[in-house]
Amino acid sequence: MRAFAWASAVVLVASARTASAGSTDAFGYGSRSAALGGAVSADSSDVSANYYNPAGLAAAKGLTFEVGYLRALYALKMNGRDNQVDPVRGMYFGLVAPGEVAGIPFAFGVGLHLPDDRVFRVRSLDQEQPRWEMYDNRPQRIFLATNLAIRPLKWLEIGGGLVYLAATRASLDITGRLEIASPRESELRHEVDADLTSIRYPQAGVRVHATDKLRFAAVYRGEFQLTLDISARLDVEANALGISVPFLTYITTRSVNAFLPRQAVFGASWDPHEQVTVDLDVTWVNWAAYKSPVTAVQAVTQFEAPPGFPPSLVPEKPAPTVILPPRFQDRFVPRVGVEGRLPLGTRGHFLAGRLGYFYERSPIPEQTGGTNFVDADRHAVSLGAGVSLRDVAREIPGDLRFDVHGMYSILPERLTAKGSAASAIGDYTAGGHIWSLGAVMGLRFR
Amino acid sequence: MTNLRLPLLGLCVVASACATLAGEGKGDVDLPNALTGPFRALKHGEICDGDVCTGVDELPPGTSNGTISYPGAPPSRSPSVLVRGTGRDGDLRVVLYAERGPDGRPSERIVRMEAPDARTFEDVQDVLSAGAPFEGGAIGDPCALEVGGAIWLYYATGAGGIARARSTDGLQGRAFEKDAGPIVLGGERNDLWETEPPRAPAVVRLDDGSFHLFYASGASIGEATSPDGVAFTRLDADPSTPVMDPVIGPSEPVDPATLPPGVRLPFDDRAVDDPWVDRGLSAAGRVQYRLHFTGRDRRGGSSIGFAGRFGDSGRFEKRDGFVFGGKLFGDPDGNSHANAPTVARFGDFALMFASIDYERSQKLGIGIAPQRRTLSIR
Repeated sequence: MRAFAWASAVVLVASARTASAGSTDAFGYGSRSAALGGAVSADSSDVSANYYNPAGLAAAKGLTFEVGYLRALYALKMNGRDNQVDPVRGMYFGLVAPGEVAGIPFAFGVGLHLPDDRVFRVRSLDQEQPRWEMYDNRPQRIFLATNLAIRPLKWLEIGGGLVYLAATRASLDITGRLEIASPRESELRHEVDADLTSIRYPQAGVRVHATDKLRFAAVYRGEFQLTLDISARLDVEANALGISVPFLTYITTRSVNAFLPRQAVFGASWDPHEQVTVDLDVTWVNWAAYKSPVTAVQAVTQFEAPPGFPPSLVPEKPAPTVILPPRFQDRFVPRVGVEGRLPLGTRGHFLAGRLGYFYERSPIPEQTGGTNFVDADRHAVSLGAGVSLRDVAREIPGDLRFDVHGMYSILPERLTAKGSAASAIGDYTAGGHIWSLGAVMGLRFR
Repeated sequence: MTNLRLPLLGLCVVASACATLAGEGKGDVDLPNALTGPFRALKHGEICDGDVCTGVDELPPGTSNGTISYPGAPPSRSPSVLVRGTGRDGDLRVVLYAERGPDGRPSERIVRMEAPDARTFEDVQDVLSAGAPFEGGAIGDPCALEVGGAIWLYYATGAGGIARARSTDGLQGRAFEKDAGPIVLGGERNDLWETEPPRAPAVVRLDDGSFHLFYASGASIGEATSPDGVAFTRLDADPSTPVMDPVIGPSEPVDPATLPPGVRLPFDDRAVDDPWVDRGLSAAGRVQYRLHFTGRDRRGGSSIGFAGRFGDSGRFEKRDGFVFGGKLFGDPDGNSHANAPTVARFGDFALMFASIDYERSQKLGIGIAPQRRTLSIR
């Protein structure tokens, strides 16, 4: 068992390429944890601990596999009209492999949310275009976390991991002959060169068992941003009305996408009764460090129009992009969850019911100027149930778990009143609601 | 135990392979837009059905300035539009009033035409001709307005000034009766900017039944109010100054040497002209005036600009850059000649009609906002 756990750890850490936490931030990771409102930093020792608190992995009682599915549906509206924000849907996988080194319990964990429509989406939008900044692109990405945890003392668990991401640099070269009046007759050669560069950010957590019934936790998640650098060179012979002119332009763009702010979580978990657990988390999210996703463009053009060349066909130089600072604000997110467990018989089976709530104040300030990062406060209520069956078959020496959850989020309508009557977008309202549903099946071997 | 591990890992691998090529994605449907531009000129597939074209084209064969005349819309200038369609299911009915006359000379007629799709204009009919003593042999710059059950048509006269005619066939607006004289424009006048008789009227009616007139004079645009639509009193756009101020004036000239690369010179550093105004409520419930105007530059070109105002009085705030025009509507020297705008709003998009006249030719251009929106020929 120990050899298998180490082998899994090495293979999975080495193969980790891309990870991010947009969907997990928004909709949770794992049905049990999502049903508890995500307030589980001090109450997770299953696969979801890979996101909520890697220290919890050290409390795993056996090799655990989990597989599940999550789907989130948006009904987000501006001015009362549905903007058809893409749903989030994807598979959920993970494992926890506990072991022991030099008498110290340890565990390795890996967690994955794999969207079934796209692994990652980046869209570069005009600065002024309204967009649901928190829900449009951000959850449309893969999540992959790998962690190690140890339990040096009976009352102390420590865990951490590195998350790997890929920044992109790409260049595009276009050369050849460009027929301005008849583009289809142009003969152009394209060359694309792209490079993915690894980026890492840390996450770490600690959990303290103050008593048998009371646990405290602290978690840190590092900041992440994905830079996308693209350069394009157009070196062609432009032909128009029988006049041939050499044309060279060099364009570079740089944008920051998929920004994830630093987070610090403080949580507690209390068992007021043998069958009841109450969880509480408060998360500080460093949204003030948010980088604008607007693409900065710089262009250099060389074009000498010969006599007789139509002035209306002379290309204009694009104006440099002036990126307005987003001025997001930090926020604290309170989360609370309650779980009740009902034993089924005497063999260790049980049924669990869960309830959770969290509130996310929008970090986005009033959009009175030239940007339109749209968002609203969010109240999320979650409900879930689970059943755990022990030794249901000889081939499954352990616990078989089924968990389901549903989460309803309401975003009360927010009014944006522009400071300028000359705005191209004008005043607008934004709000709506979000449904998310998920299910997880888990198997924990003893 | 070993028997289970391999199937479970196999399941993970198979499920990982379920990721498919992504669709383009949405999230940007029905976004808010003030429908004030920038406008994009309609393209070939939006205005032509086979060989029959109904508007301007983008760089059509055989033309160097990107404009063609309308086979379905007779030569005309300075349009004013009334929306009749709902905008749903292709119902883009509009009625357009415009001035007509010999090329290169002041117009002496105002015509009415209709289009079921805002592009194929039919049923062209003269509705007003210059002839009254106060008109000086020329009329133009019509502004059509629904008032009660009638169409009121404000227009500029060749003698200088603004006059009004009212329809005698209700909202059909095919037959008009002129007033006996031009409208009255009273109140203090600032000769520093109001150097000419008022022209190019644009009139909006408030909920209380009063009227606001916007007019061009000299290089600026002024405002006046009236309880009856005939006797107007000038409004001071900035009461904090001792003189009467226009609602907008031309932009300050800029030395090209001081501009960063890629930044254009002001498109309206010579004059602002030809106002077209509508009044509505924003999503926040604020009264908002939307003013499209002609911006004339010192290089001989013109483009359409936009300015807005919250409330029923005061200066307008201009948006940087033009919202319609550019080289597409340029002369052989590359100067834009879009002017005299009017806007038809259809729910989630707007169409701008504007004169595309070079040397007083008589062509109309159509633009659409938001720019990503496309139209199809029926």
